[in-house]
Amino acid sequence: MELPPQNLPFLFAAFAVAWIVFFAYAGYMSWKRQTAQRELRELSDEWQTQRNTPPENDGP
Amino acid sequence: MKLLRPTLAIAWKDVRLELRSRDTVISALVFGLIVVVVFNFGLNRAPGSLAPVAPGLLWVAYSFIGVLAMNRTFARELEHGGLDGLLIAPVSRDAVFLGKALGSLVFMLVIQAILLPVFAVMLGLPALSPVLGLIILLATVGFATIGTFFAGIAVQTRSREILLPVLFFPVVVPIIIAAVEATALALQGGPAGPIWSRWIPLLVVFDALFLVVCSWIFAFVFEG
Amino acid sequence: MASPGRRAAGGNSLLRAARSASLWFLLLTAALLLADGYLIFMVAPTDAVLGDVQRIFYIHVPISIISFLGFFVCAVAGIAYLIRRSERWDRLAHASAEVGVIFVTLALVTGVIWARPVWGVWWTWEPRLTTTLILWLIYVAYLMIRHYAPTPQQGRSWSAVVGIIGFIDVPIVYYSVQWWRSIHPVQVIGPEAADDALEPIISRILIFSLIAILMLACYLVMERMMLRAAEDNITELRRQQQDASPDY
Repeated sequence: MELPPQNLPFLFAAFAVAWIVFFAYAGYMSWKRQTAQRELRELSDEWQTQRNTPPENDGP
Repeated sequence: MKLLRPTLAIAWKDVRLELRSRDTVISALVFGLIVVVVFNFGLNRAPGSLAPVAPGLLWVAYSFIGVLAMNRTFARELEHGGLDGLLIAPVSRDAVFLGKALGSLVFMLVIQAILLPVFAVMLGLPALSPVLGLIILLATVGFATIGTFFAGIAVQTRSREILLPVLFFPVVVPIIIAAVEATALALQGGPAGPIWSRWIPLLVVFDALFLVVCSWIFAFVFEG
Repeated sequence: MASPGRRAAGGNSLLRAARSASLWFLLLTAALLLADGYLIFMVAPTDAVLGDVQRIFYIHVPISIISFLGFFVCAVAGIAYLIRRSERWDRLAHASAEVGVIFVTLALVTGVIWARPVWGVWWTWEPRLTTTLILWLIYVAYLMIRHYAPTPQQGRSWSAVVGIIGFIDVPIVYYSVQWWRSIHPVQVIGPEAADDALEPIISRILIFSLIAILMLACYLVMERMMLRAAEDNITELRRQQQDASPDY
């Protein structure tokens, strides 16, 4: 009986590419979202302080 | 008809503008010749043996010319606020779309008609057939439809020169395939059956489908 | 005027709930994918003719199917956006197009890696491969149009219409490429014929794999939608702050 061809490197290459891409994409998105959420928090804090200081205090 | 008059008016405006300046037609003609010359060196064939690849070359040149011409028709509207005028005009968006597409169709057909005998000489095409005329007409209707639609989008961006081909070519792949295959069959003999049973119906379906869909959704291109 | 500060806070608690739900979903997906890996490498029989490389089939086919599904969702969400004008639909369209492009890229890459040992060439202009390549080009253009649009509003409408045209185009591309190929046939040896008569164990593993990867795709789409929502929130908050600020 003939043995099946030895082509494991191709198999591993395909799976490695797929997994690396999935992980990279998911990681990138969660990193971006954390950044976005931090920015969102800062912005809303800024907004609160801005609202608490009345506008007439602006001038000298 | 309510749609026909503004459509013809817009197309006629473009044609008249072109008759005065002739810059699109002339630049497209020169460009078409350059494409053939460059491909001749690129393919590096023995003299006179370009005939087997001639249908492909013909349609590469025609589709490049199409992109060039369509970029011009909308880019010209940007000068002196022509686009705003077109959009304020009391006509529906589908009339604007059909008018611009008809104008582009006329340009391209004129350019193609002038270039065809030149190409026939340079590429050594065996003969010119009436079927080829029909193929060119149907394929160019498809080019004008898709090209006008995407040119309307591309013209509103800063990177319009690159955006139009990027949007245009993948979508018109079926037209290019059908046109090349049908042209090869029409010019180089062989069974004419597939022209009528496959490629012409494919072109007709493509044209009809996208004419309807594009004029229907063209209103969304100019909003916001 | 509604207080954006409070709105953001409410959004935060909503986001937190969504995040914990998505965490559970992620864990389930990860478990399924691990099981899928076990099935593919340990349970599935080694193909007698093609050898181990045939195992690519178990991820390549689901990835391709899901990318088509993604573009279908994108087109439908685009139509819904044009009718309803709701941000949600646009977020769904955007997310599914982006995940679809990732998947279709992987489908092409795994297909190329498959083709080399099995067909002897890296690339062949086979109808399905060619259609997939055209699909990739169309949806890369879709993402470009969003990026290049001068205003977000234009980006949303334009990408919706490009998505609709692209999706209508796909079957026409497929048939034209198939007819074109039937004139200039390519030598295709191997598993083309295996499609209709799969062994039950193989088709069962394939279906399991499809479900696992589909869950991964859903997770990625949800994550992308939440990211878009956060980004939209920031833009909106910035705009309101600028409007309210006495300096401007």
